[in-house]
Amino acid sequence: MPVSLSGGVEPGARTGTSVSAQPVVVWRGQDGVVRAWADRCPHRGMRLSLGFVRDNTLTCIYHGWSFGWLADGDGGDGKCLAVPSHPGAAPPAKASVPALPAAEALGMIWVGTGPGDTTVPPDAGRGREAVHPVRSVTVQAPAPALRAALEAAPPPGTETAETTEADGGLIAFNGPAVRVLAAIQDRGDGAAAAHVVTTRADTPTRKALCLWAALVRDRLAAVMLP
Amino acid sequence: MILYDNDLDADAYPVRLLLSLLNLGCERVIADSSPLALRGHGPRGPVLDDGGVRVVGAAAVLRHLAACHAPDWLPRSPGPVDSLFTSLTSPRFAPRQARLLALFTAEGAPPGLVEEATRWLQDLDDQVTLGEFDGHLWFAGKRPTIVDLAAFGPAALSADYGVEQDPFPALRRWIRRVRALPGFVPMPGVPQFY
Repeated sequence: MPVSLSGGVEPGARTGTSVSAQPVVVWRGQDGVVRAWADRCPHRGMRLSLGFVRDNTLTCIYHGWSFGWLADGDGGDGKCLAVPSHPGAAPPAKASVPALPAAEALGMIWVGTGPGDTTVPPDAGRGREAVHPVRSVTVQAPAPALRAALEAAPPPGTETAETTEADGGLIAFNGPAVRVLAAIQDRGDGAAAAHVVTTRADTPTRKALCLWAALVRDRLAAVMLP
Repeated sequence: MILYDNDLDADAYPVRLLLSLLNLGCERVIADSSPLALRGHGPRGPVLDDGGVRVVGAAAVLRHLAACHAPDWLPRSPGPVDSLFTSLTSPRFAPRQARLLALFTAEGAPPGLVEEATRWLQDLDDQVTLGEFDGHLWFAGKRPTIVDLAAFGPAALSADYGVEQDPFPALRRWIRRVRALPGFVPMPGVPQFY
């Protein structure tokens, strides 16, 4: 499932999100690699998305336990690497954060809902033209409602919309001069997000698409009001 | 120079930020400003004594410091930036009210006010999103100004009134930019480590 545009999580940044109601921390080390872990410190249950990234480790804000992966390649993301209150002791081997599969494609970050499930669209990016980021919008509405709202109001310059299940439910809006791709994130917590990219690099087109995405979001939010 | 404020006063935070960013030496006297301001009496926000000149309120202090010590930090084009600045420093500003009620009253902030504050964060995210396409990393364009500092507190402190920044990627990028300014100082609720 898509959780962000690639630029939404810069090197050294972390953010919390939700994949099918499961809290997830998405972060990027200085090596540029995106990781997605369960958003819970194994020590005291603090949200790791409130922590901070240094080099290629994520540190919990509560007691400073650091997590990363071991360079010797014994596998295993999310291993505890350091406990500041016991600098001389070996970090507890059992204290590791469950890692979810994460990958980047189509200018977006995709996270699997469980080990072995990449949920990156299998053909994402293959045979497609380069894409440029537009923006992400989040709205308090179920994912199908956001999908329907986007399809009902296609972006300027496009004529047809196709949804491919093989592409993770990606909506492709096609026009003579522009293609717009929107990926829907079902956060599962009553909110949904749309992550939008386009084949056009020019600023006016992308700004117009930004306004379009915000307009669809605002209209849907107005409908969803109790 | 003497600043009368306290660490929990988010109104005074942009002033403390600017003083630190400009590396201006300033004595601080702790004053009980936030809860008093909430009840609608007492001094409104920070008071600055700059060599005998007394300036009252965050907006006036920011303008005074920038005008006297760092004109670069004043937005060059007034207009929209000015009105943003005015709304930010207004006592009725939703994120400010929501934070005060959430932190200093038993009842907490009413949902309507929190919604209004969330919309403000969303508007900010929209604005930064569009600005970034033109290479405008700050509210007034290519350089940070006192408007960025005034907006930073209520945005970075959103957890105080129960709203997350996670759904607003451009807002998060701008927060990281402010935090990266040399001389940046945190406040309670804005952790040093980020």
